[in-house]
Amino acid sequence: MMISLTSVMQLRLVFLVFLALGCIGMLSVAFFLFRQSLRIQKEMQSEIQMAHTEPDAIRSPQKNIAAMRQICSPNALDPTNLGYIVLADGNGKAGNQVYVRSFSIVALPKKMEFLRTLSPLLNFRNCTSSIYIREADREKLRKSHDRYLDVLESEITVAASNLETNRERRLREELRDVTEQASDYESGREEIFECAFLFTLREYSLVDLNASADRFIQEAKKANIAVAICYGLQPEAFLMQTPLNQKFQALNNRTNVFKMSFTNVPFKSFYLKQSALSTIFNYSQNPYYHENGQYIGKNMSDGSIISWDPFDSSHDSYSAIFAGMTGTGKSATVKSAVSRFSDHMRFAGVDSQCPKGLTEGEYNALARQLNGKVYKIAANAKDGNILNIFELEPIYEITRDLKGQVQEERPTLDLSGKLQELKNLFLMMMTYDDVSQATVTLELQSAIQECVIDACTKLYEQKGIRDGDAESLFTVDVYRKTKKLLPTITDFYVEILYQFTVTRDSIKKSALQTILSTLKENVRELYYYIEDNKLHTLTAAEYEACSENDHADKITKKGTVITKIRGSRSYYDGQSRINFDQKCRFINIDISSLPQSELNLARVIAMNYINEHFVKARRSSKDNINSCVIYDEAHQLFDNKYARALLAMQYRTARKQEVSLWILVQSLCDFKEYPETVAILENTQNKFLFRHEEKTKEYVQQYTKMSDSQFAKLTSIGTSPSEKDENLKNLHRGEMCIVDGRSVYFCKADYIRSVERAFVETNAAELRKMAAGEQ
Amino acid sequence: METITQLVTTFAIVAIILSCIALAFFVAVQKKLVKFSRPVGKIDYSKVVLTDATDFARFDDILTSSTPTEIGTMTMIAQNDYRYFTAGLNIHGFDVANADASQISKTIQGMIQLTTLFRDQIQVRQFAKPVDLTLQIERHLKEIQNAEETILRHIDDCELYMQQIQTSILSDPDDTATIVQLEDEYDYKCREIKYYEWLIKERTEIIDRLKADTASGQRTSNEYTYLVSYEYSEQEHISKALTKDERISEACRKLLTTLRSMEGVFASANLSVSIATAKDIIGMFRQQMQPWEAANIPLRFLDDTSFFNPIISSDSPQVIEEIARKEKEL
Repeated sequence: MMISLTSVMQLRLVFLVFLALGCIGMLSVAFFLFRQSLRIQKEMQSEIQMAHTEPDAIRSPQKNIAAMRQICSPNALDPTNLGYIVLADGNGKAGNQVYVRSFSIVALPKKMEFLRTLSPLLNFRNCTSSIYIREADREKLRKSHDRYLDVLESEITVAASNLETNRERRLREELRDVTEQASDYESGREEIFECAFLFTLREYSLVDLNASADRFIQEAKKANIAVAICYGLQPEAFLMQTPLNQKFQALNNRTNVFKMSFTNVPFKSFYLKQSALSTIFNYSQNPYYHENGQYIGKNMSDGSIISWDPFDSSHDSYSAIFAGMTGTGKSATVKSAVSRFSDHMRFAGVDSQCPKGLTEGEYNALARQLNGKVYKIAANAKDGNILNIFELEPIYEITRDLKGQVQEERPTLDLSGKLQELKNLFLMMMTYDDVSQATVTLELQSAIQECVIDACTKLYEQKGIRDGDAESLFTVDVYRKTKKLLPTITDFYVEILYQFTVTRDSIKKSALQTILSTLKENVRELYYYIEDNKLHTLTAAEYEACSENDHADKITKKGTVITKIRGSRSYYDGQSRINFDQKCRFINIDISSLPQSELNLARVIAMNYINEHFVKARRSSKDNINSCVIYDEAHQLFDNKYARALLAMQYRTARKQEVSLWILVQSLCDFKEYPETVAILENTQNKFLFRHEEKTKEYVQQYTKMSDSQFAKLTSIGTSPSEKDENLKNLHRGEMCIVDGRSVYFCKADYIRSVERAFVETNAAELRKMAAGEQ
Repeated sequence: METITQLVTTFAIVAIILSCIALAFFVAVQKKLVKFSRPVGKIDYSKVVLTDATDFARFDDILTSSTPTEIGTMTMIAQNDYRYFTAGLNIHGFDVANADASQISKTIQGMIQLTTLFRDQIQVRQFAKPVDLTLQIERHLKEIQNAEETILRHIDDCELYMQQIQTSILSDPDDTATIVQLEDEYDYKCREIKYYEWLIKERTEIIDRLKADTASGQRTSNEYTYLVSYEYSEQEHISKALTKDERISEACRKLLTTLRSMEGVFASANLSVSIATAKDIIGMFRQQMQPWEAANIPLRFLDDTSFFNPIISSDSPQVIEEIARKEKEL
């Protein structure tokens, strides 16, 4: 009995212990459930809060993030349709609505080809595509391989038992391939990537969207790809096309937002080998097309239209280089381009070439066609056109705000810049024949420069013209404002003569002597004598009235011989007789009839004139007409250091004034030798290269970033200068390579023969035929 | 013994009650969680009421910053409360049509090499913008129309000048200066007529060429961008959580390093690239969200609107003051 009582008590005790333990366990579970519930609730709250967070300007007062988000969001979006979404978009053509439909790829071909398989879909018009790539999950992939291998093996067994030999063979091949792939991947020899493909089309009406979607599906079929509409998942697909590199998954309608998620993305993804992945990149070059450009020719690769605008917003600099040997079609391309831009651009140029059999510059016909102006500079033509090298025009200083908008235009006078230009011009005149350049010492050279600058400064001072003061260039009377008469070369010569009489410094005297002797030929008409260390000048009538000595020299009353100067190259001495009309479509300064030896100087002086009256006179905001300057045969200037300095200065001015400078040379290598010309080459974004020699390879590639094959093509386009066959020449004329920044395009310029032949043609015989035909 | 029994019984009753309460709470929360989670199957969007379209711009900010190492500036999109950052690399492509086999092979090799950098998720985004020649055709048609109108005006002017010349000759034949001036004007107008006639012919020829190209097929101009991301991980910074600014600078450094390595690979594959700027990124969003506006209203126009300035001002008070001052002076 005692035993049984003890046993009952023991049993009760055990029961109580178990009960207590059970209660503790239950309490623990209750505590765990409570904590878990609290955590879930907290997470939900934070997620809802995050979804509705407006990271607006309050957080970052400097930046209006809310505005930025507004720009990056649709005006309104209707996601209620399962097969497409509708965007409300600004003032779109068809009722402010844009219809958007997304697709994903559901089957890819077994073998993919570089730039072929996906290109038709990626290049589909108005299509945004996103390819999501990530390294495949090894474990998941291994399991998937294992499962597939098991299936294959069982299929083989079944096929073998049913005596289906062919099926068994194919399955065994498949098994071998998959085993190989699995072993490659598992051994680390091959990386596998998981890729998902999304495409979004958009149109302004549902009918157009359906038609576009049909074409898209057809394109996919042709490439052996199956695509499917993201049915019921259009908003997610649409969001995945934003540049956020995020996959989106919809939440319920409680929060009205989409949750970001990396897993369970409802679009099919594929496992691609490295080699297959490399084929999805779509790098074929874009067409060369500027929206406000002019048609200049066709792309030699695909026949697409080439539309060029030197002032396109993609350009950092507006200038252009045209490089090519004679007869390659360089001038023809330029003339053709000028004619096509003529109704909304203004041109000025220096024409130094007279084609064989013709008596005038090659751009004159173009100028006449465009109702432009031709100013002919001829040697010793008494009433001919004069280009005064002292010509000076106000320049407009433009103040822009941070956004690049013109705030203010203020006229000013860049006299100091002009003095530097004059120095270079005079030095160029003095080093006209290289003999003088060789004999001048460094000390003397700096003394000459100093004398030139001093004399020019004094001449402008005498006229009351001051640096920075645009108004000092004019005299104002009651009725009108007229431009002052400017100094001339004769004035300069007289000033140098005066300095020569008063100076005691031997080096300076020697410098002045050099100036006087070298500039004599540039003075139109001057009579002077020095008596008692004083300079006296005479008019022509006074000179004629003087008596003569035994040597038939005119002398003064005291018997001093009067010096007479009548220069043979005096067509730059005097007040300018050319007035540039800013509205004129094409102004051509024709220097082609000057002797070959004088062309360079004339070219530089004409350039100087254009710089003053055309480039500096450009008012960028008041008229919206862009200006271009054409310097043909510019390489002729490169050997003279003063001419180079002038060209570099003009290039900078043109850049500042937003004028496009077109420099025509024989080869890109012409720029090679000198730092000034190299700087021009480096700063010019547009380059039109005609056939180049093999030996130029290194240099051309250095400055154009052309590949070897592109350069090889550059050496084969057009025809060689030695080519005699005219038909072949005509066939390949105008083939060129356009280098725009880092992009390279091969183009065949299209001269519209029926309307452009009259000014593009330089063959005298052809022109005569044409004239006879017209008659 | 009784006391122990009573104690344990009470404890058991309390435990049961607490467990029931905890279970009920858990069930309630779970029920709520099920509602919150994405339901299996389709979402009934007809019941979704979108109150704000900016929900579709799922980012916190677009940041442009320089890295502490000063190896360059870059732009990132910050998302997920400044915990997920994305930056882009624009690809400019190369001329495949003029590339030889060795170059194409070099590019493929480069691409294979590039895949070795793909550790985290990458988005390759492309937009095929149509090259619309119709705009250029329309422009030329307008030029032709203008030219025709100008010719008519000039013909009228010529007739007028001719009448004036005849009148001048009859009334004052000695006033040669006026006659010469009128003759010059007349000649100029005649030359202008000739020019515009020629322009019409030239533009017509160009239009024919453009139309022929339009008929030959649709051409697109493509914009490619590689988007790479950095995600801030709490586990990696378990000892000390980073502040927002620290996260930004960490992301900037890591993303720039990734982009630089990608740049190197692209260069070796004959491709030129540039890091996407804030303007590029906003451009991508606009192209996606507001396609018509993006195509027709350049971003730079928005700089002048109230978009980026919270307060709209006017010069009117100053203008009024200026007028008042001038009136006072007079």
